[in-house]
Amino acid sequence: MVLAQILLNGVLLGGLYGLMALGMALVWGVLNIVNLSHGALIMLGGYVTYYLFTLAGIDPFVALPIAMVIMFCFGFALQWGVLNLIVRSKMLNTLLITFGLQVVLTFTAQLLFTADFRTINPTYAGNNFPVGGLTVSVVRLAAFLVAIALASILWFVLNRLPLGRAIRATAQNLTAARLYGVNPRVLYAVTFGIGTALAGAAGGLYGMISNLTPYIGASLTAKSFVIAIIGGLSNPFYVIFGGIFVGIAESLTALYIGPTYTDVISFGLLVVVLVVRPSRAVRAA
Amino acid sequence: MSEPLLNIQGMNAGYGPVPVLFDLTLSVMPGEIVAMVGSNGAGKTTLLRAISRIIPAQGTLRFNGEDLAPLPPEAAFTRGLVQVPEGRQLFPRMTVEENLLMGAHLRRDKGVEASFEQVYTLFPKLKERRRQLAGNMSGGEQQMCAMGRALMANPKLLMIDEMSLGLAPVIVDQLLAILNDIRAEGIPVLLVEQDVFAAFSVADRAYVMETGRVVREGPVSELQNDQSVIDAYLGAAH
Repeated sequence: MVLAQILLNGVLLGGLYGLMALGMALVWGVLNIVNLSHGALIMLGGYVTYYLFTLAGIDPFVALPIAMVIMFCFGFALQWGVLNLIVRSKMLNTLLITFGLQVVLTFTAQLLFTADFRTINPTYAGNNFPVGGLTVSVVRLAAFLVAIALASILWFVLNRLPLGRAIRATAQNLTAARLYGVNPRVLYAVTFGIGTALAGAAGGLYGMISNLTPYIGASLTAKSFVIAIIGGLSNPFYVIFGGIFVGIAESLTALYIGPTYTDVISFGLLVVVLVVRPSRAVRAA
Repeated sequence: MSEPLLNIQGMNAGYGPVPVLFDLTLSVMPGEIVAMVGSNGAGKTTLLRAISRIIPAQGTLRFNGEDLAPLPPEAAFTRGLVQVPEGRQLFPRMTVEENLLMGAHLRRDKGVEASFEQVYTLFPKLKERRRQLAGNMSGGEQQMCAMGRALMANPKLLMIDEMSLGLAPVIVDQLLAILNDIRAEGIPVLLVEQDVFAAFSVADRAYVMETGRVVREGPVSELQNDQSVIDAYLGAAH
């Protein structure tokens, strides 16, 4: 029964992990930018949700879409003003600039929000309900469902709407996309905005489940990176599955080996995936 | 005689300080198939880039009675100057249907469905394969898909760069026949080709290009009997 509970926790947490990686995988696949500031954007989304909840008194799950809109605008502006300078340039340049961005965001957040631990704590935060002997946390279940819903919406946008078709076309063949009237500058900014909005949603949910500090960015970037590679860049649902896979692996590790070893396992999985299926890491949307 | 659809006079173009095209003159009349032939490095692809406004060019560039020279590349496309690029340039992990839809990406009119019908009538094979990934098709099918995608943009002039490249002769013959069907639909074609024999088999008029200059031009019936063209491009077998 303990094992079943651990597995359930792993799956629910894994959904959130998948959502964290979703935006990173999208940006990576389309813009060929491994966004090292992705974790910092998750952190920022967490604070936006936190302040919408504490200052404006908006229920965090209602605040989530508002935070996503704010984060979309932020991401759009970031891509338009800064990252369009280095899009499709050498990998080292993109790594450098996004790493710099991560540092700037982290310490700006420290300045603005202080280094105190924050938790988004609605009245129902501690509520559980029993299902067949297992305990299900309301907030964790809701976070999981939000992650699935957002992955579904992203899948729909990418595969059924003209915008998504243009995004995939640009990822696959920039020359041809330009030839048929796609404006890459706008498209990249929209894509990065979507990625940032997804990061924002993940941050809001993270703030309900765990603690927000300005410094969580780096480790969340690393986790998103692992999941994006395990899940691949081609399909939002694979990314969610990748997240669930890592979530289960971490939960089992915490139970049988010890909570301090969870990162060893997730990065160990990364190594295994890179050895077994190296093409996964380079295949774009 | 009506006004040419595409009218280029005294065009010079190149890449930065490197000139490629010299004093080039070219016209395409409504309802014509015009071939621009020449060997590797003659400047054929550069010409298409200059017409599409992707690279800057001096000289007269008029399309459908309008001066294109001051306009950005998107304007050339939206006015109906549509290119089938060299090497097909499909979206390999998208289906044939999605590739075709990308051709109509900027269109907001009601005619997209009709264009689908038109493309599927010209290329029945594309209809069969419409759910297949473009990257998994043969070279000939990919070329059909690239041409279909261009037609989805509702072109007033279709410019095709190296249609025959890497394709079996029997496939090239099929595609050439389809060019006649496209012309019959009222869409003139500018065919830029290395395969002079293939280009002459379908074109009404042709220009022969060497190192950035037009060295011969005229109706194909004349050029086919021009001794210098025969020696240089058509060979003894002809």
